[in-house]
Amino acid sequence: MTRVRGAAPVRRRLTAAVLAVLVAPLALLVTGAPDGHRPVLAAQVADTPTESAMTKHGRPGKYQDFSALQVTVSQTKSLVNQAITVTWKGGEPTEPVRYFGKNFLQVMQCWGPDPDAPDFRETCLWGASGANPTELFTGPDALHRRVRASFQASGGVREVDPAEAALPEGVRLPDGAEYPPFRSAQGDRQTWGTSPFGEPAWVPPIENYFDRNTTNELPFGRTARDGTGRATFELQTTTEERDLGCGDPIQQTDGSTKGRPCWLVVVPRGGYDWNGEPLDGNAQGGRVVDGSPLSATFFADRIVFPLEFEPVGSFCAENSELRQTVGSHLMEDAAASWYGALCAGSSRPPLVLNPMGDVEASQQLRTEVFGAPVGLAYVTDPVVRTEYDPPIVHAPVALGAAVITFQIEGRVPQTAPDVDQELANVQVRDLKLTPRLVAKLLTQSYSREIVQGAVGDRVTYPSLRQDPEFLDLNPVFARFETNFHPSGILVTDGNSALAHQVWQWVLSDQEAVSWLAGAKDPSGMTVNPNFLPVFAGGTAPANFPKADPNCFDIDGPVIPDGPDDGDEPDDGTAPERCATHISPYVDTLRKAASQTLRGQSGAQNWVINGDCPPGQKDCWKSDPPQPVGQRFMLSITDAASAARYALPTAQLRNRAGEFVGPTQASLLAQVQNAAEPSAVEGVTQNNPHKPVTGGYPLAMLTYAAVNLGLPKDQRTDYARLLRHAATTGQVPGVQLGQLPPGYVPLPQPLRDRTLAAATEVENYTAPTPSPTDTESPPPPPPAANPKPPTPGAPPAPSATASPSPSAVPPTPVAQTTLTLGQPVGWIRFLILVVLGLGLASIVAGPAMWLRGYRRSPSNSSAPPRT
Amino acid sequence: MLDRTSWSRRPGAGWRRRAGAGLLALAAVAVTALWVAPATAAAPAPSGRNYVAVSGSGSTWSENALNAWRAAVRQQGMTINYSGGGSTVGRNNFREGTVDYAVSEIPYGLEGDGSTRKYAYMPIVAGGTSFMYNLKIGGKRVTNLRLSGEVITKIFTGAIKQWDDAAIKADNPGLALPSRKIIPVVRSDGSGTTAQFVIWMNSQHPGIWRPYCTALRNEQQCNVLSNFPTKPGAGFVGQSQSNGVSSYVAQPYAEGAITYVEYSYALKNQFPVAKVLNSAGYYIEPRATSVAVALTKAEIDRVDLTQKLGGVYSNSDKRSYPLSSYSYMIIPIALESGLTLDKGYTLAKFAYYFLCTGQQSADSLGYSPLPKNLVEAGLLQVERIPGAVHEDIKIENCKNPTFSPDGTNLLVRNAKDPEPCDQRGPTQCVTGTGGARQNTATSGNSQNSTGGGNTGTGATNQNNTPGTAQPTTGAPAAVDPDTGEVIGGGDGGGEQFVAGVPVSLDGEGGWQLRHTMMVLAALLLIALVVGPPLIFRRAGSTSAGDIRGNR
Repeated sequence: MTRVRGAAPVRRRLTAAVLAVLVAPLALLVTGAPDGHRPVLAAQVADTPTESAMTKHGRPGKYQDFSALQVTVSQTKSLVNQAITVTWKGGEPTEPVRYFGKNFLQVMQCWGPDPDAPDFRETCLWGASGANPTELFTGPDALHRRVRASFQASGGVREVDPAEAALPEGVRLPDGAEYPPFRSAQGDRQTWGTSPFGEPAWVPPIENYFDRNTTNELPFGRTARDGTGRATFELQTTTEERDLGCGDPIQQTDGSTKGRPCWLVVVPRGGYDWNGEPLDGNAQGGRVVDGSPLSATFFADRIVFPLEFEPVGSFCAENSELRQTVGSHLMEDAAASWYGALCAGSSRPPLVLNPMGDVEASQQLRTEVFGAPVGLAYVTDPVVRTEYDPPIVHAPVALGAAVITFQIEGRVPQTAPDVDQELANVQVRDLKLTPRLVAKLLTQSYSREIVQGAVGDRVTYPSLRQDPEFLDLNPVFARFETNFHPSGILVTDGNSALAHQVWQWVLSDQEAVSWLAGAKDPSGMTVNPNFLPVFAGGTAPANFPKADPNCFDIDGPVIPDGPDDGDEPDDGTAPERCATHISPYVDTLRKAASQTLRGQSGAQNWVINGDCPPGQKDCWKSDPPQPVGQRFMLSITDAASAARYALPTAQLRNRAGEFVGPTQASLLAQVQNAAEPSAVEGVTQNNPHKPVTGGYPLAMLTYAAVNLGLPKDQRTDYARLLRHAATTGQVPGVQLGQLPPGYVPLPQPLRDRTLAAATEVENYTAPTPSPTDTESPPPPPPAANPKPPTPGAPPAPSATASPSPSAVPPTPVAQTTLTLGQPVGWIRFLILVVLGLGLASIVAGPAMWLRGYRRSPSNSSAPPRT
Repeated sequence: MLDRTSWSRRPGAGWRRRAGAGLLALAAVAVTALWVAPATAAAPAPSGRNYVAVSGSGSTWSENALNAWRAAVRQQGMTINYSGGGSTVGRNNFREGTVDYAVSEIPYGLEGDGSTRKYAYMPIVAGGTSFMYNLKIGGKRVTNLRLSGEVITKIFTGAIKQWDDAAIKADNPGLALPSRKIIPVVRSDGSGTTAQFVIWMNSQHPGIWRPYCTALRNEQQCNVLSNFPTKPGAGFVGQSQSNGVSSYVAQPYAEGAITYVEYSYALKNQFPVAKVLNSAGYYIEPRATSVAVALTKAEIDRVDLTQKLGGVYSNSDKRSYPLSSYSYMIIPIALESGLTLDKGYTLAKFAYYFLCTGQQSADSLGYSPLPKNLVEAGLLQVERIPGAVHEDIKIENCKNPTFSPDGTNLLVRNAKDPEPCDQRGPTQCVTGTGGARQNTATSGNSQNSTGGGNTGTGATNQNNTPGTAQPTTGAPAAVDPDTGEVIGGGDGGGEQFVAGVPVSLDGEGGWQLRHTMMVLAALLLIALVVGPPLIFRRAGSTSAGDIRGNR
């Protein structure tokens, strides 16, 4: 039975209509030197070979011998939805330097039971990348499933792979057919039919199964001149791609459960076509790689790695109760791992996490929600309770970090010398940033991040690429094209402890502080003046403001102005485009990382007569992803999200003046040496002003704040979570229950505290008479607006509560007496005049009395008072 | 390498699908070494059906809730996929058969689309359309703004342009509203939030909405629109996505801006939302309980199963928030477009979870739990999904926070009444709203409810600024007790507070002339009171006696 996937020609699983073109392939992250592995926390996961790493050699092919090619996959067992790396050596260098004419690798994931079966290729997820190969001077069919191609860079007559005819019945394509069908793990197989244009033996587009939004195929793995290469590949489980079904739980006869295994398939594309004729790889009218890697000739050269997946889903009994936890987005990965392990095989109510900012989380912990009680909040800043609140105990549970992550693939001028051509399309792995550079990125101070003409007379640069301060630190960028720009830096909306910590670090640097106050940097660049008020109070914001208000009429003259004088779509004119359209926010840290990986800035452009929703002629559309191999993306996210996508992270200059990346050592150094007491006993906070040698300034220690006012059975469940978090939950690994990549195991003293807290949570007994006099929980903190005693640290961490960045007091109260705009004039001196007269009277009165007294002295005295 | 022999004996998943009924599947267990099934810790489903992956797309409004529920049921072995690409995309995908379910705020047909694929609507999660705003008086953020429906409609149709408009003042007798331009911020992309707002305006204030809208769109379109119509030069700002409109309002330059957005975005940005006047005469915040109370009057159209919210908008319960609504799941009710019994079974189990247990998370996630009437209507729809098992879907076992198993309406019992100061009239509560819980002092004879807040959750930060949180006495804003209109000095003073002429009285530091004068004045006053007797006594205490004696 063929599953009918509907009449629509194109299956759009994701946001296709609105946010059109996103290329998902985790393509082309190549470097010529695979040994440059500094232990960066995020990239560490994928880079470090695991016990189950596997290396295989290429095959002696029909026309080309790939035996020298040696491909290593970093992990092949206990897999989940994760990034792995594929590295290789002994390959022929990709040519030409800028493009993909010949000699590169294509990587894909397949599910078929037998990798040697002739119909195995039908089970491979390939052909939906949507990338435009001609931009890279590759044959147009090299990215499709089509087995008919010309091998001409300039087009030409297409012929079918001659080896196709030798395939067995049932696998061999019918006469006239060009596309091998896809067969899904659910069992349906595409059938040949007649195309809408009457072509026989036509297979519906592969987008009926997967599309550019969801595919993980990697069309271009570049081999450097030394024969090495490196690529990151996102493994998808059945959750991400059910048509592959990898990790589908399969119950074994012994009652245990395994995940459905799958395969990683690497197809080397060499220097020959399927007739054995050589390719020259010449982009200008030469012969280049073409035709699907699934075609019989090329697929025969495949290198296959078995992938053993963990069973997807951790299975818990149905339960009508649940235990709510709320808080930090930094905990999402850890919670997913821990909660699944805790409820598996248990009859206790499952835990759920509702991610939200610290302030809202602490609010929910202390007050009643309508529904299941919130018993635990993950916070960076401690929950400060008031006397009305239930007692709360804090326990450290996870050490993570805010990171600046990036996806930068060198784009060098065509005219550059060979030594620079070596950098073409090569992923940049090292980036150094100072607080001032980050301040520049976060204040819309580079001209490309705001509307044209809004810069005024201010000295600035289009982007980092041309900023001398950046180039001094990162000289390799000077060899890239001068118009190779990032599209700003992706940041999340709303208030968060993460944003606050980033700003605290920036504002701990005198250079950055004075620059934010309007001073010039050494090259004369100044801050976007719209941000001057934001930092006037010296307080670290708890969000990433985009304070530049300038917009311009898209179809009008380019005159930047305010946003609200606009034209509108429906009268035939375009609306206004503002800085927020150029660099929009992302909703979550996870999305920030995935968009960075895929080169999606999310920038909104107004399209006229475009592919718009029904009833609209023109509409806003997101920019297409940046071309593979030429991406330049930056974002602020957490280490766990960066690790999830194997993204590199920037080294940041700490207070000790060193550039430090997020490693296990640097996070521990920071949290152990820069910690200082907070308003709540037993809870420490990061002091951004303290120089810590080797410390990563954005280390973030997350606490679980547990409400002790709950009934015993609920507290028992939270205590169980704390115990898990302090034990198995600190064992690094991707298995259910372990500490996922991107976190650093807590030092033992902190784990001991969490274990002690667990006991306290479980055994707490409410003091009967006085709610404020408790013995076991930490004493209630001093009432409101606590500021930890931080000499020399102006922005106290608890200022996260500040709703407006510029407001120093956390709770501005609107003044409701009428605020007069003009002075009241002379009348304000009235009272002074009256009082002056009074003074005169004071002096004059007794003086006159005295005079009178002297003239007629009395002979009697006042009667004594009793 | 893997054991390929066992692989080859594994029946294909498609085979399993074809089997459909349980018998064949059980036979498969007997003859094969392996079988694909969810390894739930619970007993196997009585029907022999299995969990399989189910995919859906649609509303971004509901995405947070769906994501939380998907994560929760994944622990039970259910794989539910969802991508929030917007209601319109979801409806299209469902019609095209590329997804198994969709989520939408508006039904088919309203925007001229339809579906030949058979479907039913089921309530999924409720919430209030909230109005997040950025307004300051004298440099202090206002957190207790109140608006009537008419005023809201006029703001979003450009009829009211200034914050000190008499109608807004009438809603806010305790606030000295600035003469600042209102910046209405609307969604520039197609959105269910827009549709819900437009449906409400069209239903409740057609006299304001329709003249405005029909000048821009046709009569039919003005009943419901997912793209907000705006006039050139009217001062409206368009932004994409909920995070676009909310973060715009939150920017420092956006003072005077107001937008309609999900409540959770106000929380995320720590910004207040307007309390909206209900038909009982109370200004209510869109909190979980007030939305749930309002929705007890929601009806489901018996013919096309769409929502009828007329009773919600005009709910006379004084706790209800008028702009309350809910989003639908569009569920398949026929075995077509790739739906299998296993998929239907999984989807039905998921639906049962979120109609019942999952609603316990609604408040925490920034939504409102569905009340009993909607849950009952929803459960009837769940049973129509092919593959749904009746035994699994029972209201008695439904652990929804709005009612107890014996049918008691917990909402009626637990939802708190609004404070008297929230009633329309001369008083105005000072407590904050949304993500800005700090108080806003009011002038005149406002009542204060600093204790626990009228919502029971307002304890944050209240003690941080005790001095300023008190009602300011001596303000010259007199209030007409009949109209709530600020009269006398209020008007005159307000006129002087013009946008663009910010007056900073509280931010200035340092010792200034006026401080000197104040100290001087105080000293003089003391001298006036204390001075004469002292001098008198010292200079000649006997003279008083003389005087008395002489008289």
